Amino acid sequence: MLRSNEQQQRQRPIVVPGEYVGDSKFHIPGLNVYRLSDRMLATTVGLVRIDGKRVDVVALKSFYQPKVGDLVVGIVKEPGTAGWTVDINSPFLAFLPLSEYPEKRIRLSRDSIGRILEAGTVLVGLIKDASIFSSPVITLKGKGLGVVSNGFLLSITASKVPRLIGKKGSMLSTIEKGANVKLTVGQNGRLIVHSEDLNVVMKVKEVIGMIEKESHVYGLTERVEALLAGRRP
Amino acid sequence: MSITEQRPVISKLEQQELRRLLAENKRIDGRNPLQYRNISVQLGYVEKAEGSALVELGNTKVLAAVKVGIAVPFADTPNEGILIVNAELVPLASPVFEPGPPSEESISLSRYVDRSIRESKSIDLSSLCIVPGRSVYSLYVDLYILDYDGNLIDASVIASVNALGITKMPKYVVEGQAIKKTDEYFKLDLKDHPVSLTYAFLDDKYVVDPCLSEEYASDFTVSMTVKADDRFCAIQKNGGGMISPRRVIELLERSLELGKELRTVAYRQLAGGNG
Repeated sequence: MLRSNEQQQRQRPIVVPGEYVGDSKFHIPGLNVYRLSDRMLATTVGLVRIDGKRVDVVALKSFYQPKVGDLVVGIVKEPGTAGWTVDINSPFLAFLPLSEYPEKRIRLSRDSIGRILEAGTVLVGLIKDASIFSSPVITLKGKGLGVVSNGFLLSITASKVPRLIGKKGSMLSTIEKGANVKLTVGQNGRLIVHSEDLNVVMKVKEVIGMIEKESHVYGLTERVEALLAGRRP
Repeated sequence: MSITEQRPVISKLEQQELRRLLAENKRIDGRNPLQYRNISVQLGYVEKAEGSALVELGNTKVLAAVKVGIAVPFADTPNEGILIVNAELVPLASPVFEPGPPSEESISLSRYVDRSIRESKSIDLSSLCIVPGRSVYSLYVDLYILDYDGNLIDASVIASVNALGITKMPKYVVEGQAIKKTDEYFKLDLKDHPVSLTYAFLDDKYVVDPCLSEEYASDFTVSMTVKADDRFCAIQKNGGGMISPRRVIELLERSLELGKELRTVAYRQLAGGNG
């Protein structure tokens, strides 16, 4: 794709591990950046983002690191004795304790825990607790949380989720409006398309592929809009 | 001890949607149930190997390379060359692939590819004999799985046959007791171009060339290798579940039909191909 000079300049630089990203006299190291005397270096392949004094490297691809308060889309992996282990697309398996399941009356003597939520069940949860000492805990208690029984599950690399949502949800609403569909996006890089129509799902998939590949190139929103309108960007 | 790798948890949503779509003869990536993904073949991808091919089947990527040497033949086949297929599931290709000794999956894959090549009699192993009982050619076909998006078997067979199709064999001369390598090469004579076709069964429906989610959601997969003369040389069923004899016959007929198409696409670049 040919781009004008100005657009090329506005493209953010891609760095590799060990590459210089800034001077620590003027900046403070943020995400994926470490300090070696006065120099700040990247720890991963990604894009440099400077926000005030803080310098981050946004990884091109990453797994999800659980943070308290994040909305995540999980898949029940295994029912246990007092809850379920949940796959949240992260190096860590999350735990959903029985106490965080919204149904009040559960008698373990009568209901098998594996029958309440079977392995493979998709759920929208909130990270309630995340520390380095124990596995992250999620909860289903809250508005908009719970088991999902319809829709398509798609995925995007976790580091691109902020780009998919956009500033104050701008990108997400563009996609929702353009494809006329409701989306639930988990911070862990999984999203649910609430639609039965395959064409809609394929369209959303295409848009996600574009965001994943070209989020560093200038003018993404316009290109997403064009793609949704059926014009080739 | 057998260690069967666990499949990752597959969400019920995906299972349910794949089956619902298939009931309408649709697939998650927009293909027909009997449609292959795009195949691209790059011949001679590895310079140092005697023959090699990089095959992309959709997002599945397999690199096959052939190394030719001389070796002492096996005692039971003193005048036949040696063919060994090895598959390496590179951890980079998928989160389910782990480093370490070959997994069951990798052994099963390499054995299937080996059977497809050996039993199709694509290579006349007796023509690879230099001195009977003492030295023969050895062909090592190494498969590297670089990206895993389902259907490794078909991609691997296509890659191996393409790599063997362009393999240059160094010429050896016998001088008294010694065997010397010359600078001359001759082309390995590939007599057949077998193709493998893999079907994934979801309930009572099936799809050809399953993508990763279809492969994971399927009850079982069936692979069949068909030769250019419409004979079958390998059939394998992976996973649990039952299949009726009537279904097997249906698949055989289907494979003959689809195999012809696939052969022309997959081996287009092999000059003088009989496909």
